Amino acid sequence: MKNIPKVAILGNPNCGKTAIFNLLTGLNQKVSNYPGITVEKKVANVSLEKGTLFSLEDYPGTYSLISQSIDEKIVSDNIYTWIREPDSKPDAIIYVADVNNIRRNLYFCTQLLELDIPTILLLNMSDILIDENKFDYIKLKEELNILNVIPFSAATHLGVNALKNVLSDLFDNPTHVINSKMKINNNLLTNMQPLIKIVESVFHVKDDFKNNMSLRFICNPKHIKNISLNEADKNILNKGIDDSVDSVNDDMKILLPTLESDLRYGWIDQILMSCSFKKIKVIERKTKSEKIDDVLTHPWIGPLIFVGILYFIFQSIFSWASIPMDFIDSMVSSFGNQVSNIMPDGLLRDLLVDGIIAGIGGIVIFLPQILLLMFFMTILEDTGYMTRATFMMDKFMRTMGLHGKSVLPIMSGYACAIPGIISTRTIDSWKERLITILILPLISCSARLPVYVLMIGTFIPETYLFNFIGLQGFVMVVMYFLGTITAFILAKIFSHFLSESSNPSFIMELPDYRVPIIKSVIRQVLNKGKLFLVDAGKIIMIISIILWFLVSFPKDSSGNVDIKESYAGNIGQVIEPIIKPLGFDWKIGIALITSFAAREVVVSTLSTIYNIDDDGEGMVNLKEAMLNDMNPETGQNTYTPLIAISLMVFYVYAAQCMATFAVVKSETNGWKWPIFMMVYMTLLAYGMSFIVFQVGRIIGFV
Amino acid sequence: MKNLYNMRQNQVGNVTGIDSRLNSKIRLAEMGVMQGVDIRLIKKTPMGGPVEIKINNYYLTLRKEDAMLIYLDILES
Repeated sequence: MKNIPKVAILGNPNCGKTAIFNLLTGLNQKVSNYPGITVEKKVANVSLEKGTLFSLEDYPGTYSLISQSIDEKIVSDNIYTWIREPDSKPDAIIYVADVNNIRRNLYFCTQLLELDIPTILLLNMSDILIDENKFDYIKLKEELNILNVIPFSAATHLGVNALKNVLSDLFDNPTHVINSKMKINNNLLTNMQPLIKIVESVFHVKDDFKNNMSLRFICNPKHIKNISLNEADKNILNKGIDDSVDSVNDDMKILLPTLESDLRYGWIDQILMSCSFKKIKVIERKTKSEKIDDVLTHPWIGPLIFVGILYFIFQSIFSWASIPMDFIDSMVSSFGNQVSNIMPDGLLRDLLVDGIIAGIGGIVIFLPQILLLMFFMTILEDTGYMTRATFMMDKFMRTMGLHGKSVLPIMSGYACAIPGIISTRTIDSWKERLITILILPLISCSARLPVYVLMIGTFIPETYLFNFIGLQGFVMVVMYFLGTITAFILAKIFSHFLSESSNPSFIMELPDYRVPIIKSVIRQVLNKGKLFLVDAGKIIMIISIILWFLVSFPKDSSGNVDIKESYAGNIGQVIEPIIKPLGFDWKIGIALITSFAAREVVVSTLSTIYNIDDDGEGMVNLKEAMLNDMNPETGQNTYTPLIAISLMVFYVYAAQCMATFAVVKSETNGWKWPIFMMVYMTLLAYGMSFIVFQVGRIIGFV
Repeated sequence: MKNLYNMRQNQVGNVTGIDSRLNSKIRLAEMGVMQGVDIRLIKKTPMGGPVEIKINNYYLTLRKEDAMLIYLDILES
């Protein structure tokens, strides 16, 4: 197969790279106004009008080649690979710059130009270019000696055709380019000679590129550690740095750390001056965003508004989502009944109705809640509000051993821990990032919701406390609260005992407020819903089938099965002694085992158990089945409100999610932290559940 | 000469020096926070929380301990 051309999209965070990626690919991918939304590179194939196909890669936003966080390191790693293996270089770079902030955007751009890759500079947001930021962009193209500079707007589609034409010309006539590069004065070059020679031999780079790269290493020797190189190369580079630094006089040494920035910005300012760019003054005039922030990040009104927004979100999730949830519930059971009417009696029908439909139905039902939460989160991110919440919450989060940037992961955690854990990559301090990952699974995710809904709906009476607080809603809030409070307390404890490295800075850009593009928001939400259904659906499908087998066999001589004597029933009875102090019987025991892979499976498991146990046709109502379940020995109810609460508390804490475990392993590079997480959560779940059930019995609850 | 954290809200200062003990001095320099640049203090969060500044044309957050290591001459408007 012929290799198709490769184009990389690079630029600072918040400059609209992902929106441009979406515009060109039509692929529904996350666009956001929150730094670090693209935490991995995304790839898609794009075809131009003439039929030329090329592959487009979207990278996380970065301010510099010197990476501070994991998402930035992804970019820096890729670029160093391009340097060392020129064959892997993209055929072109689309560098996206916020036109109203051109000076800072050019910093990373000029670092990239040194690779001599054909570069197209897109001046994004040209539709909202402020008069005082105007400059001569044709002159800028000459000064940088790059392929093209195009005024662009992802919002109004300005410049899209121009960009496509430039790309198609480039693919037709590949050209070798030499971009402009920063020049270093001779005195400094003489001092850096030992290092320059080594850089030349390690990276096979020439001229200004090798000089500027050497300068970067001298300014920031730690940068070497972050590059994927073999130890021998790292050692000779470090030696070169030491030799060169020794030859620099003492006055100069103090200036070294920021020397690249000083020289580079000096050069950028020169270029901008020749493009008749007015020298930037701090604008005294209040911008619209500042006026909005007078209220939204006000020292005490701001946090109140944030709490109000959170309250509104959760309130609407529980009230609005109940309508589609009831609808889905009745759809699933009538579908199950129809299938059992149509199909002939037999194993296949049992598998379909009691196994698969009951299992899948248990998960589809809480899709509305997930979609709603995702919708609100996306709106908060796309407007730019999320960064403000991060800014306001930093002090509190830090007191609890976390980081301002832990706010977004924790809020995502109410939907699902996994996107939350992935988004911790923007936290540029390892200790706070690790703590955020470790406590995230304690936040009650949407997979716990069906457990809470089932237990509360079945066992907690619909009465009112003090005549106005619904008891059912109150118990639900307590469960969410329990997980959240424990997460913060444990974060504080972990922060006390962990001795991982920590970065005490909190440097974050607050982007201007933007009106979210509704079409893009809806696409993102639907995509996430689809992803959730497919991912969770796969696990549930497999477990449902295995479980159906375990509860349906062995059959006795007349072809019937006593569920207690089935394979699953036997397993449940084996573990019953361990879980009895928590109030659980063997049926819950089976559910605990199956839901080890994913919490929401508990509902489908119980549903399958009761469906098999039921001799009649069609589907049983799980609530009624559990309420009417009598212990044959005592003649009393098998399940009581106290057992229901004990079970919910267990699910607040238990580490029952294989997918989370796998993600924690890959994000922390090893088994240590996922195992630690699993152990502490399981102990916590058993301990808390034990206390609830035993204390509850002593003080006389049933 | 004042440090950034001691500035009043909406005061503008010209950076005269950055203490070499500042942890993220390289990242800040890459983002344009360096000698000679003008900075406006937009707001402080309560109880010693982070501050928001305006530099060039954009807004940046900094924690108190970093802000205290950036020295400026106040520009009277």
